Amino acid sequence: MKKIGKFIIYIIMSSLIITLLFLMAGTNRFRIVAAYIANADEYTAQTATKEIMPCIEKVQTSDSYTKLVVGDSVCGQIFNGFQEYNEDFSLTGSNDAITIPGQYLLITEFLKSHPNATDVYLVTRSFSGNGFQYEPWAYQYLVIPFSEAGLLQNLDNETLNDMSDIFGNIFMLPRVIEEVDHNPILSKLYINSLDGNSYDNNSLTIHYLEKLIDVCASNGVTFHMVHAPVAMSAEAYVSSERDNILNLISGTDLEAYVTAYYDSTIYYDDSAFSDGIHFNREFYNNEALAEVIRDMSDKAPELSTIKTS
Amino acid sequence: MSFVSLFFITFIPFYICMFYCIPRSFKKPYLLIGSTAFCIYILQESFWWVVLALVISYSSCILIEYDQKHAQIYKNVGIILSIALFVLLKYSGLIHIPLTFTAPVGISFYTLQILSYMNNVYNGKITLSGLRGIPNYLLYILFFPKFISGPIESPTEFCKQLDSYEFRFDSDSALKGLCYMLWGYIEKIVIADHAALFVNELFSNYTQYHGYMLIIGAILYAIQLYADFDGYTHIALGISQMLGIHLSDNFRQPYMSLSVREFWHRWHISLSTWLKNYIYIPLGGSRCSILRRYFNILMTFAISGMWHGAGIKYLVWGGLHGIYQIGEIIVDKTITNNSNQPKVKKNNIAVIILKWLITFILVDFAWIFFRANSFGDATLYIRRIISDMNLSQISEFGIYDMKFSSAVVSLMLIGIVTLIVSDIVTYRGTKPYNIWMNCSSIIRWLVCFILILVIIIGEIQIYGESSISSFIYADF
Repeated sequence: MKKIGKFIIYIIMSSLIITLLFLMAGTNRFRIVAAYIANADEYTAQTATKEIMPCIEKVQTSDSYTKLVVGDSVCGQIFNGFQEYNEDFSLTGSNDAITIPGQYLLITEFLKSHPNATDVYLVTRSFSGNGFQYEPWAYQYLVIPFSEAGLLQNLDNETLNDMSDIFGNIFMLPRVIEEVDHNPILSKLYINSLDGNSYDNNSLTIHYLEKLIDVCASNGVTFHMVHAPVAMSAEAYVSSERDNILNLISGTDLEAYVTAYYDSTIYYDDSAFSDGIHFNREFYNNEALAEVIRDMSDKAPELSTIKTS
Repeated sequence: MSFVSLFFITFIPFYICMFYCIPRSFKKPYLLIGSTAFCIYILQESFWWVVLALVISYSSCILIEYDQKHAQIYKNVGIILSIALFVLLKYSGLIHIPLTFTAPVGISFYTLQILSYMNNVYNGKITLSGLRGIPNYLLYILFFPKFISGPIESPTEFCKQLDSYEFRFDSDSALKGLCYMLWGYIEKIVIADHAALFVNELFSNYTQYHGYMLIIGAILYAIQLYADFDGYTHIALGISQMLGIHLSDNFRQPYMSLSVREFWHRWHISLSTWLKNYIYIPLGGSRCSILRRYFNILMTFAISGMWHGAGIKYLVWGGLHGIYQIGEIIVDKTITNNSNQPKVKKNNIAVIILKWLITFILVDFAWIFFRANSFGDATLYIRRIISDMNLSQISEFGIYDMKFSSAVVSLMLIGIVTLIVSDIVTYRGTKPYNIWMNCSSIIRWLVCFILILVIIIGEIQIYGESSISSFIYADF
């Protein structure tokens, strides 16, 4: 019994020391060393947080902008570089991974800090994107930054419950979310443990678009949905998605917005894209992107007022 | 659920603690229930194939025992049916039989144990006493620490343990078991899984690397396979030890061998023992003409190759080992017959090193076929080694220059060096466990803590790598 007692004490002490080392890995002093030892260097970069937090801060800052452009990374690629030329437009494209609930949070924060707002543009290449189905992205791009900004609780209880089911109750606690973001070891273990699921992203998107329409209407703001440019090879997919979505929302207030969304689709040759989604190097200049905006304005005239020089 | 899954690691302490808390009369049923549940969990629907194999074999055993006059017929029928089931499930693709079922995990191992059990009943070494022999038989086949990848235990020795064992807790035995497990996890996680990152990269993309890197890949595979399988064996031995059952060791420092024949006395000992007892000796062994002996060796290793997998590369691997051993016999005979040659002392260090090097090169060459995705890939891999031996690049590109972090490389190399040192120490007659036991308690606890920490760091380093699979021999 004495040996067993010693063994149990040993296990407890070892567990405490290992837990302590684990928690120290999240402190600024030991993060880099811990990440190196644990082969978790890429988890020190906090890429998602650093990408999304500036977008959140930007929409929360009271300034002279009266129009907001938000959307996925293609939106960001096209519009964000022209911010210096625009005093009316807040060009805040981010990432599809923040999901439509994330875009909803950005828009509502903009409306809170911009009482004179007149227009909101949502520019995406896909109606729902990956949504909650690809869990690692959703956690890093939606849960972490919006939790750290204190905005996550602004989502519906039903959405938060769904997220708790997907990510685990404990990993929806603010303190734990912060630890996942700062601790490269915990980040590596948790993010790699996430998988995929068959969550109904279309229902989620429809729900939050309806909320956006209501919020914008109650603030006297016009809501626009614009389709980001896509490759010609995606035409069949866009057409199929259009039929499917319009079928789902037939007869609702959303129908006009979504119809306009798909009607605004423009196509470029596949060679214009580096990965089938984002424009290639030839478009890494203002002239080319300005041309893209002009092309988009043909089908979405409201974008023609965005200055490109 | 593999031995390295979090669920298993957290579950097994409870299982073992419960084992020592329940009354003695319930311990054997507890082991049987736990083993059956484990097998059902990992096999799912294909567990029914195991049940079928057990029913066939035990029925044969009962008939052998009750009708001695026709015992040989029942034994042969039982063996044929068991082998037929094994061939059908394992080689259905090769023999073009469209089966929607996959072969059960561990089929190669439990089939051999079924065959040896039937043989032992036939030889009178095991007495069934009708249906009363079922619990021991089921436990012999399904015992969860050894079900997936052995060791292939002798049925008489195993059943003797079950009949005579008192199931009392022994702290020294439990501590030894824990140490076995700890070392097993070091071998698997720190050495085998880390080496796998490099091996998988080199074998999958061999056209992008120079010949010397591919040689490193082959050497790393030799280490990976050894550490993986030995790691599994140590974990199995450790768990069994803690449950009071002793399993046989499967490896005795195989890469210290000075001949291929010696290698097979040190590598996968339980399999080579089984092959010797049930294939080689029944064929005639070495008590026949020299040509017949060569045939027996080739046949035994061809069967060994096919046992590992359904593919020409396994046959080539087995055939190579058969040829190596025949070659050694011929060389030995030549040296013995040629009395004019100057006698070289057996313990001449240069001779020992040369023998060791030749043995390792021959074994590792064969491993290339074992590891490659196909026979064709193996030949291309070897061809690239020969044709692109650009030694001038060695200083510019090595394993530290591959896409993996230096922390991963360093931990792997430390693990490999530790394994080599451990094997050398054991080969020279001292067990590292005994050295550790002779240290002060503070040193012992510190070493254990460091090993646990290294295992955790090792696991975190490779966590999320899709190229890492469970134990290699679980695929056979």
